Amino acid sequence: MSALSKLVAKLRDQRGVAAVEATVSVVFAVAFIGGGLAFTYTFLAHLWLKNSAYEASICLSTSQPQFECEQALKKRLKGALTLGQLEHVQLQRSQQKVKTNIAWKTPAGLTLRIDDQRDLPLLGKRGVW
Amino acid sequence: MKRNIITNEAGFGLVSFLALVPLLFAVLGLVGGLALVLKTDAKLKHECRTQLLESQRSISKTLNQILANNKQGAFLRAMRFRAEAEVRATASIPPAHVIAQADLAAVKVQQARYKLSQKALILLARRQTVITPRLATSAVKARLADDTSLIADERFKSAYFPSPFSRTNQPRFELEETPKNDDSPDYEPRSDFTATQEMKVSIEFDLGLILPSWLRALLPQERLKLKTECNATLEKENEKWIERLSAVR
Repeated sequence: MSALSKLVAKLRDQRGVAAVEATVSVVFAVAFIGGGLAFTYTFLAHLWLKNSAYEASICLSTSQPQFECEQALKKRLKGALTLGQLEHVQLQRSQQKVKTNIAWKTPAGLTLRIDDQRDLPLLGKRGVW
Repeated sequence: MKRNIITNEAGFGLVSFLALVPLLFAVLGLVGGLALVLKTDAKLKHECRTQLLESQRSISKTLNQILANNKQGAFLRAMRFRAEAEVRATASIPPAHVIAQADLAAVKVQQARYKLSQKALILLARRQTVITPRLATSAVKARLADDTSLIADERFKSAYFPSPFSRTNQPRFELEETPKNDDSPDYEPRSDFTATQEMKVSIEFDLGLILPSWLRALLPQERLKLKTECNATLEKENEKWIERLSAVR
């Protein structure tokens, strides 16, 4: 085998390595981007759910009808979280307490549950953060 | 040549990764920015609500005190009625008439004192009702300034961003006298009291005020605004007036 043909054979081998490397890189990139985006979306969704549950509890503490608060909450969630599914929304109001429960399923199938419970009157109580 | 090829191929993964780094930072920046906006909005709303509720609670105490004093007003009206009847009945008996007139004068003094104390309480509540929205606005702006002080200095902010735009309504503390023009009337909230007593505060500011400069560069050129609103009023519950947030419409 001549030196030239040896080099060509090596190059062929190395092209194979490059293809494998490229495939690994693409898989890595897709996993990295996809995973990162999914994590980011879930993180933001969690923040939004927490904030929305707090606002729903605030709404419940007013004299606004409960169904209006529930509608506003659903609209707020569906408006911002287009991916994923709202599984459960429950609002409860009593003389001393307001309570909001939300269950939301991420596109990846993970269910986020938020329980926001506040004593009335609201004055002197903590905020959402 | 062989060395070059190997070096190039080994760097392929690294180059691919490096290409993703700006994307990673952009995404992290966006997430951080959104979280910051959400957090600031929640903090400002909380401050606004707390300010209005605190003031409404103080006003509700005054109002409940005024309403509790109404019993004294009714008692004085009855005393006045009896004293006036006594004066009429003793018109033909001079010594008793003088005593009855003295009693009537004493009741009138008590009525004047009662009315004065009620008016003072009403004035206090009115004053607080009028100034609260402006105080709440100042408190929210101060909170915003605290939150943005780490982002940029005042000179920079005033040069690039307009001051937060605020809007408040003019709530009124209105009570009705019954009977009208009496010396010791009952003071009752009017039928539209909850509506007239409602305090509304709205503050709008440029998002650039709360975002770091590197993140501001990622935002579109047109100015994005964040609006914080809160309303609170007094509502009657179990014969007592209590402070309550009202729906922002």
